[in-house]
Amino acid sequence: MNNSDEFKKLLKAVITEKFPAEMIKEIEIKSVEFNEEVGEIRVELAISMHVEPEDFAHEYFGLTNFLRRSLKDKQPSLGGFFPVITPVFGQGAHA
Amino acid sequence: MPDKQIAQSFLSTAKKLAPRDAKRQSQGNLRRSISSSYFAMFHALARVAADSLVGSRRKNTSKHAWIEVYRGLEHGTCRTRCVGASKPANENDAGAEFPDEIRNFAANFVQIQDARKRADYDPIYRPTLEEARVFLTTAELSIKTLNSASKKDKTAFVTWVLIKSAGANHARQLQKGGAERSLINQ
Repeated sequence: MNNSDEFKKLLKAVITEKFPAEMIKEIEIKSVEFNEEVGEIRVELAISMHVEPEDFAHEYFGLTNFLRRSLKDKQPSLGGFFPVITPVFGQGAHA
Repeated sequence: MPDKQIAQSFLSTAKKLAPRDAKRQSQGNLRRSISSSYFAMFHALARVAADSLVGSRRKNTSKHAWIEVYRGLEHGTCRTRCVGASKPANENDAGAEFPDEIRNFAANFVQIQDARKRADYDPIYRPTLEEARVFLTTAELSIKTLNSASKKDKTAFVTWVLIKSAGANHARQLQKGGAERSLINQ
C-alpha cells in the first residue's frame, strides 16, 4: 500500500533531513518492503557522501528513531513500524 | 575472573579488518569486520547486564551468577526486546519509555545485527570498506552511549531484555496502565 513512488519520496525527504546538506552527495531509496505481521519496514538505501564514513556515522547513529518519529508525524498509521535500514555505501547511488 | 574487555577487543578487531587508511580490503575481512562490530555490541550489552544485575565489584559478587547473566542473552530475544525498547512508551510493552541513550543503543543493535546476518551468511551481499567503517563507528558510539546511561536505566533495560516471563510482562502492563497500581496505592 505504501510501497509507492510517493512513499519513497517521503522517505527520501525524511532521511535527507537528518543529514547536513554538505555531508551527502546523493541518497536513493532502492526498495521499501512492509512486513505488517512483524511491524517492520525494510528500507534499502544507496548513499554517497562527501565526508569520511566515521563523520557520517555520527549522524547515522540516530537515524532509526528519527525516521520512525518523522514518519509517525507525517503518517500516524506508521507509528508502530520499526524501520530496518539496509544502507549501501561506496557503490554510487545509481549503482 | 571473566574477561570484561571482550567488547573493546572486538572493536579493535573490526578496526584492523577495515582500517581508515586502506584502499581495498578483501570481502572476508570486511564481512568479519562488520560481524565483529555487532559482537562488540552484544558483549557490551552482556557486560552491562551482568554488572547491573549481579554487581561489578569482585568482592561480594558471585562469579557464577555474573557469568550466568552474561551468558543469558540470546540474539533473537535481544533483537525483539531492542525493537520494543527503541519505541516510545505508548507503542512498547515495557511499561515505560527508555531514555535516548538506551533507545539509540537498542535501535542500532537491531540495525547492526541485521548487517551482521548479511555479512555472515548472504552470498549476494558485497560489503564495502565504507559500510564496515560506518557500522564500526556506529557500534562504538552505541556502546559509549549505553555505558553512559544511568545505573537505574541500564538495570531497567537489561531487566527488560532478559526477563520475559508472563509474570514480568503482567507487571509491565500494570505499570503501563497504572489503574490497578493506583488502586493498591489508595
